[in-house]
Amino acid sequence: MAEQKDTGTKTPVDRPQAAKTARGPFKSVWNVFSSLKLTVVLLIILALVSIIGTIVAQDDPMKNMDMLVNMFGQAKAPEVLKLMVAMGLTNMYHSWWFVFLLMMLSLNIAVCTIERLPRVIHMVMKKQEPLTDATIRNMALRKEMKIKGDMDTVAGKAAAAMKAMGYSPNEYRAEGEIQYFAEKGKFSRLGVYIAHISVLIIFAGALIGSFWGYKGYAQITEGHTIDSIGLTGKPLLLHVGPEMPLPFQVRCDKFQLKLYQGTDMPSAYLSTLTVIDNGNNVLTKTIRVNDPLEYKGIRFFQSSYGIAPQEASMTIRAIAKGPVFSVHDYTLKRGEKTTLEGSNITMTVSDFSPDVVIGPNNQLMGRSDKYRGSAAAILDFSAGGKPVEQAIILNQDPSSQPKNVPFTFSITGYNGPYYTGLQVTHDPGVDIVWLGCTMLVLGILIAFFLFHKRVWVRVVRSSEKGQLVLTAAGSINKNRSVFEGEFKRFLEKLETRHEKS
Amino acid sequence: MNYELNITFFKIATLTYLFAMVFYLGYLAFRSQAVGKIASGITYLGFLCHTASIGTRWWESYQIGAGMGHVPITNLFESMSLGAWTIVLIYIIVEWRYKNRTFGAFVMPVAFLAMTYIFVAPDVSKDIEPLVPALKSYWLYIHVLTSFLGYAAFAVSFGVSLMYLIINTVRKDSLYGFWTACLGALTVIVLAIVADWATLPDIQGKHMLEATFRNPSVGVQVLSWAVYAVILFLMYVFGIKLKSALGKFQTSSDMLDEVGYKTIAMGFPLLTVGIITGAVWANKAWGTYWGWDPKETWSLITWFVYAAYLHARLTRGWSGGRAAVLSVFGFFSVIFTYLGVNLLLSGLHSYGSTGGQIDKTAIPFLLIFAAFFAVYVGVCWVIDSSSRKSAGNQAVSEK
Repeated sequence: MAEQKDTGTKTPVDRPQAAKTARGPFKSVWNVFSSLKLTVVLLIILALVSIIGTIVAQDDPMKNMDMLVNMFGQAKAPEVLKLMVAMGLTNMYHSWWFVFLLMMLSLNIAVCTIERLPRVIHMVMKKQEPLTDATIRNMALRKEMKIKGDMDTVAGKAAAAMKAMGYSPNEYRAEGEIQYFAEKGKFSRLGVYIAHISVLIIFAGALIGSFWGYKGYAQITEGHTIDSIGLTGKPLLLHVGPEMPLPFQVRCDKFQLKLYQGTDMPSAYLSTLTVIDNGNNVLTKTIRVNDPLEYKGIRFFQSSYGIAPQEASMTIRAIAKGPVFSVHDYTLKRGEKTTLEGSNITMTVSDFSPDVVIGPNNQLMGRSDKYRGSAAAILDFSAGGKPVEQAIILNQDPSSQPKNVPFTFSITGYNGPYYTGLQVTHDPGVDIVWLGCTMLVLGILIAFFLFHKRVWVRVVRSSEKGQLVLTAAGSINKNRSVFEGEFKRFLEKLETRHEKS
Repeated sequence: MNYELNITFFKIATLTYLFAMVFYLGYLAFRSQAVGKIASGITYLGFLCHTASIGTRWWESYQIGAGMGHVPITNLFESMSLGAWTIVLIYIIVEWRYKNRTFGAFVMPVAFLAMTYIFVAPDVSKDIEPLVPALKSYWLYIHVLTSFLGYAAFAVSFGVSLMYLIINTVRKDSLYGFWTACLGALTVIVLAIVADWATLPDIQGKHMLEATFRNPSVGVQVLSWAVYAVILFLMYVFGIKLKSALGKFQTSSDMLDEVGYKTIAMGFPLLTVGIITGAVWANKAWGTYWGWDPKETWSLITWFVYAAYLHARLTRGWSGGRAAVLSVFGFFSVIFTYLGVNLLLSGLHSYGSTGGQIDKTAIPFLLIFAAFFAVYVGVCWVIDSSSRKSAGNQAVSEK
């Protein structure tokens, strides 16, 4: 970028000169995209439309329906939802118009970079020139002093002063003239471009991820092995079904839920997973949230857990009503039967659920697979091979008891092997995204906090005999107030060196 | 045993910030160097107490045992306390660097307000809570710290930009409308929070601003909006007095413009690192670096606003009033990213959230609140341009 003042204000360099003279339709499109006005407008439009997606629930029709029924009433809500879906508002960040805006921004960045980078590279590659009478006048910071003395000594002292400020000066000699000049941080001019190109790299990484990457979900019961996952996010460029085979197998050896001592608050979820490739156990790792397993570019994240429903068993407590008081616990899986102690009655558990709520029309609804005192079980009773009764036992409702069986039942436990729920992802673009992010931060830091500084000292013979004219000059591409201080210190060094002699 | 030393320090710090605010206002009113020095001294004292509060909370979390110990930045109370702490820290640096105490009257109220709000807000727990498994990552600290330093830098830029707008007022035009509307809205929110506070005993389980704008009673609601309108009107009439009081300090408006820019130049890289470290962490926890979660989206919106500011300023020469207005809008976006998302929307950053649902009455409230703001600025602009037109006509007819 061209010269900038310390406050970050400067004369607009919106349109480079070359573009102004251009003609033709291609050139006029090019000119639109090389405009920084477009950048500001696009950034503000992107900021405004992004707000919509934080209010309209994304990929959640139920939630949107709730909101719309509240706003427009039951009758109109489906129509409005249809309209919103058609406009892409319910999956906004992947809608054609949002992607189009991002593409416009990318084009804008690319064109601006192509337009300006060659000049800046030229500026960076160019060697610093000695001052001439013409260029000296353009220097924002300059000071002239008249000094008596030998030309080489005076110039030599100036060079020493430069070195003391951390510059390594070049020498230039002409008839009746010596110059020393030096520059620092000229590559900092590239910082702006590093930052902008990095945004394109991040976009490229994100595209690669959506073309060939995928997201999925797997539930593995302890001791079981899987060789495929269910997909929740399909790759755009690969044809795959809802089930995706893995190039290896994964076994869950163990799941553990750790609690904070003396509380019921979870402190860690741990799954020990083993990768089996070609029949060999190649890798075993205990994963936890924030510490996934990675094998062949596919990563497994701890996401949920529960008791495996197929292998779960329920503990049912039977209390005899009399004449002899007795309490017995029976732990049974689905379909298992047992004879109730102290009677000839057989009890079969035909079904159960760990968490059941009573719905609005008195129907039973399963809520979750976590046991929390609201369990339900369907029990079949028979005596001598003849069915007696079927009863539904609800833990929340003590009156839900069989009528013809002399026992009272309650559910006291829900046990079984755990399953671990894993989020599975493969993203071939992620490293490119991190490369872009690193460049972005570096580019911004260079652009804001490093400067291209140049200093010159020119000593010429004056028309008066034995008199020398020393001109010191300096320039910086931005943040002049800081450089003014540095230049003042430089002048002080120059002066004290000459006073000493 | 109760671990409440940190709360005691927190209360002392909040009170100290209140006194600092009063002294900074006194400094503006009387322009006495002694009062200014006292204000700074009180600020340092408050900052020390605040640091002690965070430090003791950290220590106390380890005293509880059971593996509960962690850096106190993981629930809304702790994060708001850290937010106020970083604002005061950045303010102290700016005051020291620019040898100017006039910003104090604008920055300290923000810190005081943040502390008071979080102390009295309904549904915000002040207990030390154990870390949920998802937060157990060193990325938490890097992510939270960089984001907060960025927010704090933007907060200082906001205060300085407002001051720039006040000092550079010439006429009661749309820019005058803009800054008086900002101060008016801030005053209204402060009063509404105080009203919530006044009804503290039965505040539990209620929404924010339930005592006023979101009261079940329609009469109270109408009254609240009327008070908002009256305060805007008073701001219109008396704003010019504030301008002349501030003008007496002869603070250079170039310097304000520069500080407004430099604090954004500081905040922008920090926000960028904050967003990126969040993405790195999300990738480690869920395998997705970007999921368009409301918090992520709003941080990106904020990033877009400040990117627009930097492009407008560095390449299109925007400075002064227009840049200051953009900086103020940027800070609105910061506030929404930080608080609005947690309190109003649902998502992954659910600490301190009011549940998984969008808070239905909040969105109409925000829209009406913003509409008052916009209509007021529009009216200022209309009055100004018509009065200028008639002044012009008068000048013509006199000739």
